[in-house]
Amino acid sequence: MELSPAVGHHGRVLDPAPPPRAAAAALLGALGACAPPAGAPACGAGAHLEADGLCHLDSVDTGAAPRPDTGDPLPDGALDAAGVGALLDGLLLHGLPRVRDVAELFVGMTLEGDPTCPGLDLAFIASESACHAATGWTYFGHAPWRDELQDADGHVWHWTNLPLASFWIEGPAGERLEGGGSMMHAQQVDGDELPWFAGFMGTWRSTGVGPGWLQRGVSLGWAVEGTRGPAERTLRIHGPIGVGHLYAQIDTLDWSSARCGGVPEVDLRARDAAGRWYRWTSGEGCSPCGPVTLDGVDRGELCLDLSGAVAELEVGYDLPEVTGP
Amino acid sequence: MSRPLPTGALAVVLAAGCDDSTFAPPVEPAASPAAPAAPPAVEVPPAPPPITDGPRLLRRAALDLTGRLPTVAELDAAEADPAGVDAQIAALLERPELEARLVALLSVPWATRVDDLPVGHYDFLLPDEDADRFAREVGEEPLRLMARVAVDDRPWTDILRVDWTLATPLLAEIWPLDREAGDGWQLARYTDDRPAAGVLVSNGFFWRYSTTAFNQNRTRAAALARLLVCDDYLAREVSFESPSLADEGATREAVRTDPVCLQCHAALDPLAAHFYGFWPYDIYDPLELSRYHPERELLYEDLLGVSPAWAGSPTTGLAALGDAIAADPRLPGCAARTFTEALLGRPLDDADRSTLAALTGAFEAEGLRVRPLLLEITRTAAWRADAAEGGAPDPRLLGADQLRSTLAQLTGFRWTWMGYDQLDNDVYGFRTLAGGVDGVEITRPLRSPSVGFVLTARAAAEGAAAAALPALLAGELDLLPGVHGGTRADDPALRAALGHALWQLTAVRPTEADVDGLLALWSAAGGDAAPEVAWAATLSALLQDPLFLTR
Repeated sequence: MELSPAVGHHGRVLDPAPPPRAAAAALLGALGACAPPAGAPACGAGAHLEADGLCHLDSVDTGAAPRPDTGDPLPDGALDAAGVGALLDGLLLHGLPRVRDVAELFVGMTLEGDPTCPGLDLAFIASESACHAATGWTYFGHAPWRDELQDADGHVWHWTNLPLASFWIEGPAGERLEGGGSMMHAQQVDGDELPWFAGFMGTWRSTGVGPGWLQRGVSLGWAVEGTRGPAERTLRIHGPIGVGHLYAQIDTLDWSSARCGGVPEVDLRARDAAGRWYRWTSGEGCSPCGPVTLDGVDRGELCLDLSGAVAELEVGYDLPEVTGP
Repeated sequence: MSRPLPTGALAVVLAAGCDDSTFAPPVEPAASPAAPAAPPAVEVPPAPPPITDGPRLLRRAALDLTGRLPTVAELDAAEADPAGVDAQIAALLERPELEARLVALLSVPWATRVDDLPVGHYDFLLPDEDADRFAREVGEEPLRLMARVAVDDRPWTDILRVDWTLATPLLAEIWPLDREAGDGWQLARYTDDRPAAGVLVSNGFFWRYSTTAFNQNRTRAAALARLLVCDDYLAREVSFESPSLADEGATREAVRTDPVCLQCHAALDPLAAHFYGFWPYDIYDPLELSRYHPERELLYEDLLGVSPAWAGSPTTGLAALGDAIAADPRLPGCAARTFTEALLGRPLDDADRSTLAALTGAFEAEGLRVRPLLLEITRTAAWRADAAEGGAPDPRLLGADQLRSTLAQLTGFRWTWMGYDQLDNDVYGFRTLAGGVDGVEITRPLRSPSVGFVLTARAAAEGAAAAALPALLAGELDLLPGVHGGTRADDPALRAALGHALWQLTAVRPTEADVDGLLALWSAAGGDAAPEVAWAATLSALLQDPLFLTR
């Protein structure tokens, strides 16, 4: 994904707000290109394929940017808005964490076992030694998978849970999924508004399979909620996220399919290599642009249209069907 | 100095362990003159007391600083020139064994060498024979870092600032580390973007001091305040109407608003706020625990509700915390206290106030370097006390780690079972019975001999004797030079070897009667007819000598 536009010598964006659709298309292009590598994926503009099979930004500048001539009392090496944009760009390059991706991978890989390893149930416990299936798959740890329908408050809810999981699964070709933490998702499957919520926290990563963000390794503590009604779908995120070596704290990401063309309201902080946290807020007046600050000091304006990324994300929190046996 | 036991005592030890007469009961030190209300501004270290028993003092220093006994030649030199013992002690500080010894000394207050950790070797599919090694190496990581700072003559504040740690191949396999090549402990750097803050970002520390959703890193904060600036929150006297701890909401509110609770929490919680990069969403998951999580650094806002600060001053993260603690005026005195208590094997009290003030001053004058501090400690009357008095009235028992290392030095014996070091483990061993600490239930070394200590020392001695027997019979055991399986009772070499062994083991010149007693034991246990039995019994008895088991 391209940052747009460039930051001027005072840290101000000179030519804000490209057409949102164009930015979304660029984002989606990059995301799509970095989906599970079947063959050689083409990476989006500004990215390239590396030996790990993943797309990498051509110039992920997570370090110090030249200090703009703002006269601000900032520490040496502090980033300006473009630098912070590069951080967020890198974070978004491989997509955002979706419980659906993990759920599908987990179920698919667990079904590769045999009746004794990991067993007939999708939940498995192999805590002190790995079990080896006749199929060549290996399972280790504690994976209390639950996938069921429950009645609550007069409605039917679909629960998809991996609570307090600590496991890994490895296939004969070296494909691997491992997780430590909890993945919990519940959504109402009858009625009109169809509320849902999720908790996705801990450390998760895969090798050779799965979306880019999972192959890079993700560490997060997300609380996510939303609704799916006939006229509007909403999503709200709060919590920290780290993908690879890029880190952010999402204080609020508030999105509606029916508002601002899908441009979300965002209040987040991004961490640079020196451990400094920059705040970026956007969405006011439906604008994808907003100020970047460091300890309250202005670092310029950053425009980052997240509408496409969030729409893609929201789909990944829609799990209406019970999966597996 | 005379031996405290009659000749026959060794046989008594062999036959029945130690009875009460074997060790003088511990006696509280004589009351010192009343300490001043506050230490003088500048403490001048008092002149060290005269050395009345050079060999025994050298022995104590060697054990305390290297975990090994002096050689016979070194004892001879100390005996011939007691005034030269200071120089001998200074030389000990240059020995490579100092680093491992510092690890053992620091392991007592830091309490990281525990048997049980939130994750085990099985979580990494390591074989069971690596279980003990796994726990030890994890627990030693912060201790190794501090020991390296000390032996490299870096200022002690570097333990809070360096961007490296030390790691073994095993640790480099399970943690995100870039480790220099080589066996054993090598320099390493974490690759997970944790700040440069020395022990403040040590996995070994955070695995030992775990936390929960209710505790919110407070255990970690309290431990570091106690260890680094000797501010022990648990020692504070507070009195309050406690809400039920089962009422989480009421407790959360109390620690934020109740004036009594705030006596601790006003400072403790801002310290705890620094550690959310080590906040696990699953406290038993190896993936979660092995990595630092930079993205979680701000979770204190949601989970704790206070911002990071040290002693009332806001900080901006762990690196800044390291700087703040390094600048804390309490740090030098706390380090001096920590090392003094470690060498004395007891907590300091008011009677030690002036000694501590003098040591702190010397430590600061030497740029917060540990080796000069250790040398100063060995020059204090407190450390030298009783070395010339046969261990009475306050015998310092050989620590479990010292017993382990000296037996290895003398006989090559390492007492293991199923891969567990029996003198360094408590799940499958006897570490605390041997006087050591487990870091959880037992946090101070044993100061008075107990039945458990005597029985453990006996078993260790018997094992060491059995292990050394082949070398002894082949005439290759340095502890008993000039004897072998064919040596007979009337051979003068036998007598000479026993005297040599007693001298090296105890640093007390044996009398003719002492050697006669050992010869009698050798003969009674088998003598010429059964020299293997005779040697096993005699060597076992030597290794249970009370003067060997004290320092």
